[in-house]
Amino acid sequence: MTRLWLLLLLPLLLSGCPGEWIRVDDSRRNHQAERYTVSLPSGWVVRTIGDVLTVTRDGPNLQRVRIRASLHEDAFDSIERKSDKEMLPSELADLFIAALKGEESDGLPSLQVLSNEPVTVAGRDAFRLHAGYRLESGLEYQLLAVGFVTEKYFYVVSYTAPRLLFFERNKDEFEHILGTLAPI
Amino acid sequence: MRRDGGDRRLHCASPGRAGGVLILACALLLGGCQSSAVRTLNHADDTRQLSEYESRRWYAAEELDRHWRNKGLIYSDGALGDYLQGIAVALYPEFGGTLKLRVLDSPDLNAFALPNGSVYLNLGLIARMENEAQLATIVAHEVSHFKFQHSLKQRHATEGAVVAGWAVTLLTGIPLSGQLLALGAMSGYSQDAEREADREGFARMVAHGYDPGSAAAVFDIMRAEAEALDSDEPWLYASHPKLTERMQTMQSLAVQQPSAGGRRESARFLRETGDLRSVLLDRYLIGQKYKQLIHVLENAEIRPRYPGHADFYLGEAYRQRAEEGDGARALAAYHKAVGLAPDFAPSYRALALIRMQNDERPEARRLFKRYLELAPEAIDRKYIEMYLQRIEGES
Repeated sequence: MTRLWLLLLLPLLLSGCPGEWIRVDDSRRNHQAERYTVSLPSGWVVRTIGDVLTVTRDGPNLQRVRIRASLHEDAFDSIERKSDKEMLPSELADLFIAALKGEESDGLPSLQVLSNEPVTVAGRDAFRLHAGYRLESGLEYQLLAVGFVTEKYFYVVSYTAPRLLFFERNKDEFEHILGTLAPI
Repeated sequence: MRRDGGDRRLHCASPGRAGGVLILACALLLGGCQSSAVRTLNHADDTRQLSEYESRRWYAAEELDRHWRNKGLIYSDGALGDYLQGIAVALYPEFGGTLKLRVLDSPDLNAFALPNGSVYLNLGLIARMENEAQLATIVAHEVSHFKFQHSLKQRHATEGAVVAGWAVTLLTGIPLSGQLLALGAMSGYSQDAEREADREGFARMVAHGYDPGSAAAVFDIMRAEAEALDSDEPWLYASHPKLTERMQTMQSLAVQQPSAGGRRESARFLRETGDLRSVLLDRYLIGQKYKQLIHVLENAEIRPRYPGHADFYLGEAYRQRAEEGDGARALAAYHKAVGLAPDFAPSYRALALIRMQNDERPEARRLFKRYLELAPEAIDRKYIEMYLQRIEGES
């Protein structure tokens, strides 16, 4: 009996208290964060944990767009590296890939870079990375990430979805979000 | 003290301290009080009739095999796999057909065996060895763990983590990493189990004519790395005093051998492990493991085992470390790499970026162009073209 109670309590205890998902209605489409403003797709849901904003329509495992605006000193803390305002986009991309590959919990060690090129976002030089990886279940995901630096912050906007069906389906929303991002 | 490498992965995979404590508690409860005696295996036939308890653990090990394969963590090199398999079967012919040697695509110094005969050696561990005798020491040690079924005997670590991991995954859908599930096998065993595997493994490698002195050299490589990185030792070797003690044990065992010398097979090892050392440098760089790069490539004894272009990686490591004087060290290392390996493209890109940042445009342009000549399909070609456009636009 004790084991049963423990099993029932386990998910609750482990899940902790993450930020609440909030539906994006017309009044919430124009999202203002401390470090940026952005337009979110109507009908999706959004939540913020720390400096990471996540939006999804069907659930984060099916598609998610994440925006992270971190201080330079926190930009790549998982690999104990920092960004700085002078960094070239190719250098940022290298660090971003290293940080992704260092994540063990998400199949990211199998990350394969499909393309990596310079773009301009909000008037700034940025990297645009397209990559694929595979979960332990064998399910293939693809990821688009665009990152750049400003005087104080490292910004990265990423889109992740299963390769089959979902990735292409919501790419336009990602591009819309990226196109409306305005660093503060 | 901070831990590097594999330990950090465990931290990433774990659901936090509270969750970890709960999992351990859950594991102890769910693990129950198994009283099944765990057999030492003497032949592959011993694995054909497993008890229910052994069968469950065998299945759990196969799940781990699948997990790592699906995650793309297995380093795929057929010839290298055959080579490792050959060493293992030569050392333990009685387990032919049961042992499965695999290489994990990780630069960290680690190896472990699962109760179903799967033996994993990290790419980094193999590449850091100097000869086949040292590699055989590791293989023999790990197969000994399989022979004695140490992972089953050490229930608190292995079984508890596996059971708890499954429970959490089933109930919450939270996919716990295989690192956690494999905690018992990967984190090392009790001192008694390690001593047993050391003795058995040593006897096997010596019986096959390998140089007894090579066994202690393996531990010396680990100890030197642990000291250089200012970190706890890799899991395989557990705590520092224990590592030193084990090195001394190997030395004393070697001294007790009736005849000195034996096979090292350095040439064959270097041939069979091919460009694994280049791959390791690449893995260190991608993983931002600059301490390891500097430790390996600044060592005059180790450096000759690496190709000419290795100095490019040393330059990158200095740049990543970014201590006073590292800029000049990096520049010197890139120049040395160009001298030793003039067709290795990344050295030119690294030099070009430095020249560009120093506003030395003509030289930056020349170096970028040389980079693109040597690596026309480079994945960062568009960045380089953009940099070239800007240099030419500003000139």
